[in-house]
Amino acid sequence: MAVITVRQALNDAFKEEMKIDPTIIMMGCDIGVRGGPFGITLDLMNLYGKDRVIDTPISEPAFVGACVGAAATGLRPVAEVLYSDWITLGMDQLVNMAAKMRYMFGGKVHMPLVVRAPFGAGGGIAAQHSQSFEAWFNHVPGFKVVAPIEPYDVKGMMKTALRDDNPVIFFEHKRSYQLKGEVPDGEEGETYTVPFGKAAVRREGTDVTIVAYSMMAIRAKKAAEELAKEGISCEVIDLISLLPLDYDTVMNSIGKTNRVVVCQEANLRGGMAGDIVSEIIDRGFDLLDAPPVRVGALNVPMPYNKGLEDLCIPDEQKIKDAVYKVLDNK
Amino acid sequence: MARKMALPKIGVNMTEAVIAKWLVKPGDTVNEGDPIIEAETDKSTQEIYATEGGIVAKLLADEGETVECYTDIMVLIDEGEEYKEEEEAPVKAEEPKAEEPKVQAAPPAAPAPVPAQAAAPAPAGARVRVSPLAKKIARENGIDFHIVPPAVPGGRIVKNDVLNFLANGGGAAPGAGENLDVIPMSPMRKIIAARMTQSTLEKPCVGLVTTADATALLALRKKYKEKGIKVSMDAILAKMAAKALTIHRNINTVLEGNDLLVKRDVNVGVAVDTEKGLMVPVVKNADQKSLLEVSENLSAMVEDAQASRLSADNMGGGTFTITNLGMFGVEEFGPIINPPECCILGVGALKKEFVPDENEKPKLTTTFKMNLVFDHRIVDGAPAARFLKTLKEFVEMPELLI
Amino acid sequence: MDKKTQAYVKQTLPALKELKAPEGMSLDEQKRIYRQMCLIREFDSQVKTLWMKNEIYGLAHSYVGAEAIAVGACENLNKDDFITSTHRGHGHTIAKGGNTRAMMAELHGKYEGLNRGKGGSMHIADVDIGMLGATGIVGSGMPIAIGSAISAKVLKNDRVTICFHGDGGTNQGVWHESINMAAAWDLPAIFLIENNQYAIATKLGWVAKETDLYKRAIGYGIEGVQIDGFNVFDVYNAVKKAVEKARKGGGPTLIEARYIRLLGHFVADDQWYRDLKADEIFWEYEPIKRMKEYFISNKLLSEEEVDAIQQDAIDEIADAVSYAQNECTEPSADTLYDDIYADGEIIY
Repeated sequence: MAVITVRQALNDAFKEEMKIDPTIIMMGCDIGVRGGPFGITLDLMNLYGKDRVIDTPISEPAFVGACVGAAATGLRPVAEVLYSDWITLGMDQLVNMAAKMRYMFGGKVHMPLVVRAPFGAGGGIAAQHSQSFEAWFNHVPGFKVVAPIEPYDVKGMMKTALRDDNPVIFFEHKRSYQLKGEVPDGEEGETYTVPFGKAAVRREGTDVTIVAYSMMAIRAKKAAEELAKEGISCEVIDLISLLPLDYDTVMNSIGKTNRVVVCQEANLRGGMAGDIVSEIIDRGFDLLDAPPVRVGALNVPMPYNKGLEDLCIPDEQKIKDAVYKVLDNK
Repeated sequence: MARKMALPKIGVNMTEAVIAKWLVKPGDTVNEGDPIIEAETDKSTQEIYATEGGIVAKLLADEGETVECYTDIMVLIDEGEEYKEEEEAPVKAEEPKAEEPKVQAAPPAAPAPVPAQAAAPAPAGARVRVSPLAKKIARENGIDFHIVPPAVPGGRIVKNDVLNFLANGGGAAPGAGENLDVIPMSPMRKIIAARMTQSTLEKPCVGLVTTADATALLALRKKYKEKGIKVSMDAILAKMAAKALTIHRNINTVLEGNDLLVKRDVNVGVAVDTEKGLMVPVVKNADQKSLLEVSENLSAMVEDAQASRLSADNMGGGTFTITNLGMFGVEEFGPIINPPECCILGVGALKKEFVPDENEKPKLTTTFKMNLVFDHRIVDGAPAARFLKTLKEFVEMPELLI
Repeated sequence: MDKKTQAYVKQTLPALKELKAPEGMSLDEQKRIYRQMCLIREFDSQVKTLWMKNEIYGLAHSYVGAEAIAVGACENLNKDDFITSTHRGHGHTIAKGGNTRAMMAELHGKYEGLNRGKGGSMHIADVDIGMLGATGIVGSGMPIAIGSAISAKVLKNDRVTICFHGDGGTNQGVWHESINMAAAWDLPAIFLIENNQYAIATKLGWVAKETDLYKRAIGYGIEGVQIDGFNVFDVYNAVKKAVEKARKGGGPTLIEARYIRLLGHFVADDQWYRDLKADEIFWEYEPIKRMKEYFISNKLLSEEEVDAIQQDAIDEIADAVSYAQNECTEPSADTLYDDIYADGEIIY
């Protein structure tokens, strides 16, 4: 095992996959010469050339759309939108084309597309750089949506995404790139993958199930550690993959704990957590001993001021408060 | 002035209603007589009307909730008035906090164990909050979750509350733990149960059975059918019973205290099997209606009953009831009288049999049995038998109806 | 300067011109222009320092080097004229007449800030003086400018809109869509490209075949000019002409102010991706230095007098920083939901 950062995990995944698959190309602003605004694509242009690692103009609708077209015609493109907020600019091509070309065109088109969307809030980057739009893609049939956070999952999932014939929206938490974790080295490191639709139980527990993903899974784990000291035993599930979503693992856990808290970093309204809670109720209303509790950002555009920003972003304390709430039978 | 409107009782036997749907919401203006609730009562699903007008300030009962009659269900205010929650506070105010004990408590008592029985079960009629899991466990153990006390007074009943309750021997109902489903009685089922029990306990009953030749009756039906008119056996019998009741008015009688109330209206009920249970639409003044009128009237009400929309008006006030299990091949049965009526007629299945004709020769005839159960407090055997005889004559010679 | 360097400068700054005041411009006005540029320079110099000290949060993009463009352009505007901005909006706000105290308060996230502490550097806005706000989405000011120009046309209030944007923005689809509409309908808009030749680290030449961006005007049937973006008078003259035309109903103009980004994309960008040594030469052409030389060489002002103007600007910014740090308050939690909806409505 080697301990590497999320940044390195992504970079390694690209290096290894681009080496064995010459149809993988990349498009995005500053990804070539500069190696990416977050340094994810360092060296890739040197290794695989300007035809495969393409510095684009700031033309998201066109380069995202170009990736859709390239995917339909034999390549495996990766589009990087610098901040996931700007995926809005490529939304038409993604929603109206990428997600449904195969379906509309009688199953004759493949769409092996990966869109890398650095998301999440924090650091005072305010209303246009802090948003989390995963629920939008969850809403549209045709996408796969993933949000791994541990380097092991990030690397393995990126490889799965690169090999998949469907459009995958790959949410990377922009404050996770320095996060370190164990990843297999040697041959295993180059060959392992992480499948879609399989969640990981990060911590076992008996009192409350905490369902989370991306940075919220990290925060949930920390909250669970603190709660354990108070005698509250939480089971923490990192979903890793949002669409498809591993409801078997979620329901198994709820069968044990009968209480669930679902966390997202996005604005609470209309988010993944609401959708997940609905599905939990559909599948196992009788398993619940308390109303499920959701954790998410306040329903406001992200303010710039740090104090206000802190109030908005769901942190460990908010997860703990949700656990107290779900345990309170008042 | 803010005032509360209570759930009105709209049927003689209605004790409670399940609020299926609110038809008004806070802010709406209602006039007396406006529909405000779609309710499931002992009769069926029906609209309940406002007993006074005003602006709806607050609804006091949730949809799905069972509310006893005369329980407050909403708050009304006047135009231009503002409703303040506190106005109702004095009623619901918590008990005054106990004074701090003047004497220092002697040695600190051991902390109370998690109170298994600390809180009382919720008072009847109050909304009980219960987790889906607790509800399921209670159901599986054959106990009514309403009687389980939550650990937190006034709090939600959860899994542990039910388990503690069971562990302490609480409510081990018959059948607990057995492989069966426990279904709480619907309001309608409860009413049926109460009335049947009342009837059985109060009424000394005698059953009189006779066999009637159905040939003429079937011929009559056939004639109508040829004209494209569908007339049911029940409708014909209802009309005939009505006619017979006008002749034998002592049968069209109810007992109230020490008085025999001989009814002038002849209202014949016909038992109908519906998804929700037994219902009895009543053909009012059936004696004054033609056979076709009775038939149309009855079939419309049967349809309403099947669709749970039979109005209370069409269910009350019966003076005689007919119940027919012939379609299930039942030849003869003794039904329970629908109180406060005097009689009920149980109609059996049509049956082909050889009957000696006037020449003592066997003749294949269609017959059926009629079982008249009567309340011996009201009439004796002979008058009841006379009524049955008249009815039998009508069945065998429908032309007598004219 | 060797020939190679000369050629490089010529290629990078093809519209380079000598500074010459427009006819009829008073010395006082020239002094005010100079002070405005110094104000922007000092403001953004302080921002960098404050960001490094963590006094300023988030991202901040410096306008250093581009001062001539915002100031030269906005000198032609009335208070009620509109401008749209980019992510690099401090210079535009100051040039349009923004209050440096309220701006600095905003960058400190204070309630007294222009945006109540909710926007910060990247969304600095002062709508009361027609500054329609900085935006983090490249190119997103273009259709906003079309909108404000349509407003002026419909409301017949004679206002013009200057749409500031970078070379990066010119490759967004919406740039083309917007200019086409403005041209088709003769809208009172001026499209002012601040061509600093870099989209973060991507050189314009890598992603555009034709780097003389003003030539794109031909395709839309409007006038296009290329000017010296380091020369405040050149900017002033070109924008003056465009504004007069727009006010008279003559439609839009595309102006390419050519300069080169002297500092990083944002305050902490070390620019390892470019040859900084080769580009050092351009500090010789930066607008404040050139204007100072212009004052002195034309014997309009003494060096001391020029420096006094600069010092005045430095003092104003020092006061603004002191105000933001000592006199302003943190926004309270109950302001969080303010202004999401109109008229104080709050929807949780």
